[in-house]
Amino acid sequence: MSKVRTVAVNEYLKAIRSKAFILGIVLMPVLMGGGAIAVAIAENTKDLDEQVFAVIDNSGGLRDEIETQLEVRNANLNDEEGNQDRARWALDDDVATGDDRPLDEIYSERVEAGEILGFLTVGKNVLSLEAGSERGLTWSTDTPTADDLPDWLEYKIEEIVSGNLIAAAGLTQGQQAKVDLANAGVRMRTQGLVSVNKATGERKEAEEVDEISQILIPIVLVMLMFMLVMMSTPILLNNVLEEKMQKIAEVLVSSVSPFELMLGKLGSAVAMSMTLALLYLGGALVFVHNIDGVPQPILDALNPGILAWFLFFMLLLLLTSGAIFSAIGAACSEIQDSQTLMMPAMIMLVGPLMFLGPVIQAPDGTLAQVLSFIPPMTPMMMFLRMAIPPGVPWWELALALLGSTLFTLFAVWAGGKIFRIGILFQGQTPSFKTLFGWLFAK
Amino acid sequence: MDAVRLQGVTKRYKTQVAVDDLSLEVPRESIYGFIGPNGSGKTTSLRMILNIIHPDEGRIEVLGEEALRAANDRVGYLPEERGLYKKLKVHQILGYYGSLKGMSFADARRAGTEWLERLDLADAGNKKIEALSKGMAQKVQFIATVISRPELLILDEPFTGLDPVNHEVLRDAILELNRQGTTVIFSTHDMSMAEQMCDFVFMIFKGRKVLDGTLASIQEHYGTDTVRLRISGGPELVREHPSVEKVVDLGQVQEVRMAGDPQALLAHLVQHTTVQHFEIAKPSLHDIFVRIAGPDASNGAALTSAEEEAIR
Repeated sequence: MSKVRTVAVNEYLKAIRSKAFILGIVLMPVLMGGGAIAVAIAENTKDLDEQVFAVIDNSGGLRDEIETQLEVRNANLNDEEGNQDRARWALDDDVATGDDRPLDEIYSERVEAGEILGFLTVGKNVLSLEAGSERGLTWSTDTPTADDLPDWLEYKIEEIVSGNLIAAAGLTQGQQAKVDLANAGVRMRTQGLVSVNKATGERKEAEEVDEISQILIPIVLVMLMFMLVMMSTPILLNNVLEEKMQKIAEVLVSSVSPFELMLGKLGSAVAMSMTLALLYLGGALVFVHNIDGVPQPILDALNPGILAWFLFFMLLLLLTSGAIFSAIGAACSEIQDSQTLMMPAMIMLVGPLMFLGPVIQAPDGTLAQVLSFIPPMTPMMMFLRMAIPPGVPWWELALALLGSTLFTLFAVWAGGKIFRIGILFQGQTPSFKTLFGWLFAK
Repeated sequence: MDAVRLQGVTKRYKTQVAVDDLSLEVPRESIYGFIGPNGSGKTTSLRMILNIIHPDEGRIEVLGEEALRAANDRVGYLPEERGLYKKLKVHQILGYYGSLKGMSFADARRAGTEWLERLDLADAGNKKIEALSKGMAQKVQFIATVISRPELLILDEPFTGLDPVNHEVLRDAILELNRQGTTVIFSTHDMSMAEQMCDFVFMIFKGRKVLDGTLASIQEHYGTDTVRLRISGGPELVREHPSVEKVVDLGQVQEVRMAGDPQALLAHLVQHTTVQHFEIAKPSLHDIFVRIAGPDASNGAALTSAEEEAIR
C-alpha cells in the first residue's frame, strides 16, 4: 500500500508542478467564463433597431387590431432591470399614394431597399367565423430566417380569430380547447418577394420559402464544414508531437525544410477533408439529381456556386487551424502541455457554432456582420450568411475574404516560424513570450 | 575539393555560445571523426552542416554548395536518437525516406530490398517497425540513411546499442560505402572506434575546436610521454614514483603519464615487483580526450593556428 501511495504522490506532484496544470488553473476559468459570456452574448445579442413592416389588409378589419396589439407590446420592451431587450416593431405608415402598381410590388421593392423587413398579406376571409377556413395569411420577405415578427403576428392573429370564434359560439372556458383545434386554419405562409422585370414589365410571383433548402441545408453545410475540419486538423497536433517525441522529426528536417514539412502536413489535412467533402457533397448531388420529386428549391440550394464557396471557406479554415495545431504540436514536448494549448485553438473552431442561432435570426444584423469579419470566424459565419437569404452584399464578402485570406497567410507564416524552431526544441514547453520571440527569430 | 568547409562559424543560443568561430575542412572520401564531451557543440555543428539550423556568423559549404539545403538530397543523416514510425512497415518507411531524398518510390523500394538482404533483414520488409528488435530497427534506420547513396554520410553515434555482430555488420557497410567514394562524418564517444576507423579526428570542447588532424599527427603533438604497463601488486607502486604525473588504472593494465625518464620508472619497478608488460606508447585518443576534457584538464583552450598547422 505504501508503494501505491509513493506512486500516487509522485504522479500528483508531477502533475501539479507541470506547466499544463498551472496554465489550466488560469485558463479553465477564463475559457469557461469566456464560453459563458459568449453564450450569454449569443442569447442576448439581438438587433434592437426598430423593425418596420407593412400590412396589406384585404379583410379591412385586421390592421387596426394588429396596431392595438403592437402598442401593447411596444410598451413592454424592457427587461426587469429596465434595459430594452426586444426590438421595437412598427407598422409602416408610408402608405403608397399616387402609385398605381399593386401593393405587393411596391412593398417588395421597399423590402429590397431595406426600408421595411417584410409585409403581411391578409386574406379577406381572415376573420371568418367558420372554423378551419383558409384565412390567406402570407408573410413576404427576403429574410425568411428572421421569424420572430411573423411568428408573433401569427400568434396574435390566432388569438384574435379564436377570441371571435369563442364569442360567436357562446362557448364556455372549458370548451375552448376544441376551438383552438379548429383554429388550425390560422397558418402563416412565408414567401419571397414579387419581382417585376423592368425591361419587359413581366411580373414574377413570389415563391413560398422552403425551410429545408433555405435554412436547414445551410446549417447542415456549416456543421459539415466544422466536422470535416475537426476530422483532419487536430490530428496534426498529435502527429507532429509524435514525430518530435520519437525523434523522427530530426531525420525529416535533414531532408526537407521545417516549413516544407509543415506545408506537407497541411496539404495532407486539406486533401483528407476535401476528399470527404467531395464524397459527401458529390454523393448528395448525385442523389438529389437522380431521385424523382426532389423539390427545385433543394436543387437550387445545392448549386455549384455555393458548394464552391463551401470548399473555399473550408480551405481557409483548414489552413488556419492546421497551421495552429501543427505549431502547437511542434512547440510542446509533452502531450499534457499540448492539451492545454489546444483549448484556445478549439474555441476558434467551436465558437462560431455558438452564434448560429442569432445569425440565422438576423443574417444581415450587426452581430452577424461583426462575427463574419472576425477572421477565425469568417469561414463559417460568412458562408452561413451567404447560404441563407438574402445573402450578403458584395463589398462585405470582398472585405471578409480579404481579411480571412490575410489571416490565413499570417497563421501559416506564424505557424511555420514556431514549427521551425519548436520541432527541434527539447525540454520545457516554451512560454507564450518565448513563442512570440520565435516569430521573429532568425 | 573538400566535402564540407566551415569558416568562422558561430552559433549562439541566447547568451550561450554553442559553437565558437569554428573552421573545418572535411576532405572528400575521408572518414572524419567528431569527438567531444556531451554538450560541447557536436550536434549543433552537425545540424549546421545539414542546414537544419543556421549559423549566426560564418560560412558553410557542403559538397560545393553554399545555398541553403541545395546539397541536402546528396547528404544522408543518422541522428543520435533514432526514430521510426512504429506503425509503418519497413518497405513503406524506406520508400518514404528515399522519396524525401528525391528517389522514385520504386527505386527506393528496390534499393531498400538490396540493403535489407545485405544487412540480413530480407524477411523484415513487410514487418511493422514495432515488431522488430532494437538492433533490427537500428539497421533499418541506417538503411533509410544510406538508401539514396549519399555523397556525404553524417552519422551521430551509429554504433550505440548494437551487439558485436551487428556492430561489425554496420562498420563493414560504412567502410564499404567509404571505399565507393562516400565521405563519412561520424560523431562518437567510442574512442577506440574513432582510432580504428577515422582518417581524421576533430574534437570540439566548449564550442571550440581543440583537435583537428590525423590520429598520428595528434598523437605526435601529445608526445611519447605515456607508458602502458602491467605489474604485480597494483598501481600504488607506480604512483609513488616522482616522475609519474598520472596513473589511469584500466584494471589489467595501467596507463601512466610521465614527466621524466621512463627508464628510471622501469628500473624502480623491477627492483620492487614483477613487471609483466612495459611499453612506451603514444597517448591513446581516450587519454588525449580526458586530458582535454576531464576534470583535471588545465583548460579547454582552442587550437592556435600554429598548433593546428602542426597537427595537420
